[in-house]
Amino acid sequence: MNKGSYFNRGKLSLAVRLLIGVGLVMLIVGSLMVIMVLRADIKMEKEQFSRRASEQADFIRMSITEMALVGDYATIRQMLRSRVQDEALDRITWSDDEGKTIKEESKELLDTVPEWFVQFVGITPIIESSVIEVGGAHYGVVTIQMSPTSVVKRIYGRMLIGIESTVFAMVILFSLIAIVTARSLGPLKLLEAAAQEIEKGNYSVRVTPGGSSEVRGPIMAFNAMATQIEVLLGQMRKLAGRMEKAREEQNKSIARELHDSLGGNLTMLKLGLGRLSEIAGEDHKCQPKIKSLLDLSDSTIHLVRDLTAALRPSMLDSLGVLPTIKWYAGEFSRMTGIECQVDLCKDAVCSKEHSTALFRVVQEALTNVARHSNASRVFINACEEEGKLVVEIVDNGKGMAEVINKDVSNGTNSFGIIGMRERTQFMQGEFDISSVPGRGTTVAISIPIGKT
Amino acid sequence: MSMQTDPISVLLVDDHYIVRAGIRDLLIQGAGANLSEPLTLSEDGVGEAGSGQEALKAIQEKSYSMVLLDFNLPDMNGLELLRRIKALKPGLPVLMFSSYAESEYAMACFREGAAGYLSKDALPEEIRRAIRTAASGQDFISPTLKQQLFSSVRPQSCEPHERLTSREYEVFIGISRGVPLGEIAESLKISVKTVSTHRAKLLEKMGMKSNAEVARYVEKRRLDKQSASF
Repeated sequence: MNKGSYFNRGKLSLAVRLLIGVGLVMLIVGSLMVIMVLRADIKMEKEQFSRRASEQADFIRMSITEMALVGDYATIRQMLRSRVQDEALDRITWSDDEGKTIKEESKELLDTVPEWFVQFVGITPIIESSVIEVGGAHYGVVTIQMSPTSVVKRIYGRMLIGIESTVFAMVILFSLIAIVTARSLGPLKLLEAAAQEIEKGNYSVRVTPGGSSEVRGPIMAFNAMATQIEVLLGQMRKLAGRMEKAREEQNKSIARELHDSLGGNLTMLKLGLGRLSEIAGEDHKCQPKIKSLLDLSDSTIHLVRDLTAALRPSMLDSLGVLPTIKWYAGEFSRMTGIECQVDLCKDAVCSKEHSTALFRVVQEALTNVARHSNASRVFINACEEEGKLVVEIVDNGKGMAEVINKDVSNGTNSFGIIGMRERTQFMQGEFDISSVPGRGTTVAISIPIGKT
Repeated sequence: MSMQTDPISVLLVDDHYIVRAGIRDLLIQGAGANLSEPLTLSEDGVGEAGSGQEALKAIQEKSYSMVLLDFNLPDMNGLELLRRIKALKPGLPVLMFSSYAESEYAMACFREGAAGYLSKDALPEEIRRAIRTAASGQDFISPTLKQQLFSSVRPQSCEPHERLTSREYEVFIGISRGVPLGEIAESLKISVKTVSTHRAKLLEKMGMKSNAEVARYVEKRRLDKQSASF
């Protein structure tokens, strides 16, 4: 079950927020700057435009005046033709006083700027006429027509460059922000993954400190915390192991004491009673009393035997773990009514400590079967595989809805499973619990066995 | 039905003096007494040993008809001593005398060559009968123990597929449906190698050789209708 990222829950990530913030600021500042520059530009161009119009008109008037004096019309035409090439000029007309055109030069100006921009710039075409007078004589009127098209085009071009550079600057800044946040915050992702590993029970995970100093600190603190958890867990395990060992030792010594002293005395008591019965002879009047005492000693002997076995089966030491499992399976069947079948390989040898631990795991697994599974049958299989002793406890019960295969679980009922896992870990073994709902649960333990 | 009349000699091996005394008393008092099945003891017919070492020494020094051997000894395990006695004198009957009633102990002792297994809480009559039976070279098993042994080897009735672990069972069902091992591994979130291990093991448990056999078995029993994670 993926719980998703802890960081992105309901909020945009820092990088995205930075990008949006910076983007907005740049958009506003950029637009303002472009507009301000544009305005200044338009104002300047406007002034230049009208100045240029009067300059052009003056120049043309003076040139025509000079040339008209000498009657050099060819030069006038040439002058007009070259003049009209000026970017702002689109038409020059020289007409006589009656308005009849003497000379006219014009050129087509291509308008590529959007209409709205032309409106926005608001430079109107200029038509300027001046009368040519030489020594009191009239030589007609020169009219120049100036279109703002090329000026507007120039302003438009400059505005486009302004917008382009703003966008370019934004792209660069965005990439910078992305790179910097990824580099400085990236390790937080690693930190998150590591924390999730810890949640899964893998406490050995560590994060290599990286990124900015603000992130490096938490990573180092996390690592220290993980180490501390491992240390504490190790101490807890050691303590649990020691307590377990002490309990086993205590059980063992109490069981031995019960068996040796109490059990020994009881059997001798029974033997003595038996002898007494023989000596008294079959018809003696004490026989009923002796018989009841014999029965009492029998039941007491059984009681001691059950108590001893419940504390710790001595069979573990004398016969080993597998016969003990077989015996316990029989006892389990007898006590619970759940059929228990056992299939054991030839004697696999494991140390005394491991024998006890393995037996306790099997015992716990069977207890769980009796308590939770509703099974009618359990199958215990033990065999040696590649230097490992594999014990499987397969029940045909209802199975588990969700198998707890985690190192630490929250359920209070699963202390049994924690115990089994801890014991298996103590034996350097592997513990696995699996289930097919409706088909039953399987507990599998595999522990390495030495060839001793 | 007295089986033998030859006088017998018994070595009692037990670390508790009181037990040895009790048995000695029972044997001597029983010899020639007014009982249905008396014992005939030879001259100096009861020897005693309080430890494994003493017992080994005693059987080499003197010839006994049989040994009554306690399971718990301070210096060595009763099984261990039984093994050593059998190594020294294979023909000497050893009757185990134990306070443990479980048949697993008896089985272990029989495997090492014990002539019988007698519980310490037996009545005098049964003790004498066991000793006599063992001394005559026959095996002795008490009726209660016989019952236990029989029930422990009674044939097991569960169907082969019920012995499969949950994981093996899921692989089993997967194979029966013809799902490739790789896909089985994926859906069970385990490695392909583990799946093949499970497959080998389940075929062994089922006594099968091929996937086709698995499919036939599953179809015949309609196991397919049960849940599995495919």
